[in-house]
Amino acid sequence: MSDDEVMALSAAYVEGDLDPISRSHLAELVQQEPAQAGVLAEQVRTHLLLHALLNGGAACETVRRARLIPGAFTSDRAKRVVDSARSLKPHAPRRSSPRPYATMRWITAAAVAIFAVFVLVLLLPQTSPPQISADAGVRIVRAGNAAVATGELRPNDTIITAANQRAELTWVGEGTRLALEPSTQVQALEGRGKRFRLDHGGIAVRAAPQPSSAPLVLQTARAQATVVGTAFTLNADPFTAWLHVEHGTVRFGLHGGVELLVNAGERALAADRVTIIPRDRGCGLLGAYFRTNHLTDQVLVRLDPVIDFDWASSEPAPGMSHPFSIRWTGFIEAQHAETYRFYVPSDDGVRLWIDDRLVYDNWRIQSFAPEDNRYGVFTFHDDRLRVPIRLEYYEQFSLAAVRLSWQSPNTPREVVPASALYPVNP
Amino acid sequence: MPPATSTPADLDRLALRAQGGDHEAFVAVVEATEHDLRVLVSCYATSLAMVDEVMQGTYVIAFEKLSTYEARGTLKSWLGGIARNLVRRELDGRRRQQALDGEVLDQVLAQAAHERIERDDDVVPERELATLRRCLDELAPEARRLIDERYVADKPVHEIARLLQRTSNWVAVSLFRIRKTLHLCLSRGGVTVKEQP
Repeated sequence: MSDDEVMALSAAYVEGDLDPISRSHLAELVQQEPAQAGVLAEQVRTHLLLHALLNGGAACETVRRARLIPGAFTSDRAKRVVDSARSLKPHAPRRSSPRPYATMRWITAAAVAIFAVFVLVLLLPQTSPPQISADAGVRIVRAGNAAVATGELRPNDTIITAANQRAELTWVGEGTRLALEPSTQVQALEGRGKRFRLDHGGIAVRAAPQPSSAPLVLQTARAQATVVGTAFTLNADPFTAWLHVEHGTVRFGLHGGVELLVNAGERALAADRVTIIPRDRGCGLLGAYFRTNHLTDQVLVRLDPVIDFDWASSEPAPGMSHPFSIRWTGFIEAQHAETYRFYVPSDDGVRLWIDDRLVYDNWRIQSFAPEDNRYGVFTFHDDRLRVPIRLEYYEQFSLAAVRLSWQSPNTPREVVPASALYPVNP
Repeated sequence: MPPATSTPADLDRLALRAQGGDHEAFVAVVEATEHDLRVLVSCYATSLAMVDEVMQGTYVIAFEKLSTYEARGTLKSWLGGIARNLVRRELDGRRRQQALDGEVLDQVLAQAAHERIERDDDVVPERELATLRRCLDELAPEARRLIDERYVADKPVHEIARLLQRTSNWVAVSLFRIRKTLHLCLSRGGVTVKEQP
């Protein structure tokens, strides 16, 4: 492999643009030549430093998040939200001359605290099974046998609601309640605390404060939410999980990944990563990626801030090759009540629906022409500035690209910005 | 751009107000320390996502533990301590997770960063930044333009390529070379070496 090729691979890695095959080439190289690992680490470090020095956008986001922090701590019970971080000790300022009595006091206090925690853990009551309260016809599957859902839900039991059926799980002596929406399947898991797996459907949770050693944990195929005394709703399918927190704070993350704190009033999406969806502005559309050219065999869902891709012959996502197809869905919000032109140059086919109306149809093999002047039109009205949008795209072979732009009397032709695109109606 | 510099005494005053329940003072602490803290975290993180996660975690923990801070002009190093611990935890977690996933590249980077954070305990963000600024000033104009397009304007490589009428590969490799030059310059305390595209 030439130096230029190594540089190109390393550069693509730093930019996050490395396809799986190139990634495995680079991995082999790094394993064979440890010096390359050092070069790659230097590249990443310099990249991050440049970003920190020159890019101000991230700082704004940190400050925005900081404004939300106090809200998470307004009640004592919500303080449990960082229980996982409590063991971390910030560096205390160094004392020039340590005082022996103070040190002794600290050691004694620490020993007493450790003992108290030990005794507390021993005395903690085991979590009792939840009581089921369900509509007629709701089923429970226990040891492979289906039965009418009544009594207690035990570990490994699965409870299934059909369309138009609801069920509720409650615990004796505390206010925690799990309300299963219609068409939902939930399995009780073994382990300390209250643990459930949501296979599909939705659950609304009202949780009393939970001990950190025995939390209420809801898993989905992609993510898990850990409850610390709050109220929220979790909806899931095999590719995504949506969390909407009403009160308190929830830790939310992909399995094995870093967890984000989702505060009251916030909504978070777990797809290829966990993203907190802003309440006051758009942040992109949900893209469902398929392995075929006709929107079947789904591989993943992710949040795409804008639709402006030039993949050339590379893969749009790990594990995908050409041909492929993508369906973006969500809501689009116009600034002005007027007629907009929508330009969607693409390689290959594309079709666009706005407010469930097909406004542009160019579903054929073609080359990408950024200045293509063909367009579809849609008129926004004052009472409907935000409407549903669906964009479908397929790539057959060779090069792949797609761009969604708009133009109106008061809007210059531009790629539709992320601030105008919403994955859900806020 | 970084906000106006706050003295340790300024920061302590803000911290005291925040300890008294003034949320805006806490936000002001974040605004005043964010830049330096980000530089510190960037020295050891392995991705932008990790930088953001650690930054967020640091301020959440700082808020909770604010009452334990003793105002003696050491707020920045106190925050830096929290951030370092969080980075360590992240790197440990990622090394274990990536070992299971077989993600060689991520594992290698996490390992290198872990060794670095265990090795040097004396990164001073202000010094690191001043050196990097000096190194940037020494870049040739065309190299500086590439850096500005990529990091100041935050444009992706393919967009810069379109702007400069070059291939994405050319832009990516050029940025690689410039970063290498800057890294050498940083490691020599601001002395430039001539290796630019």
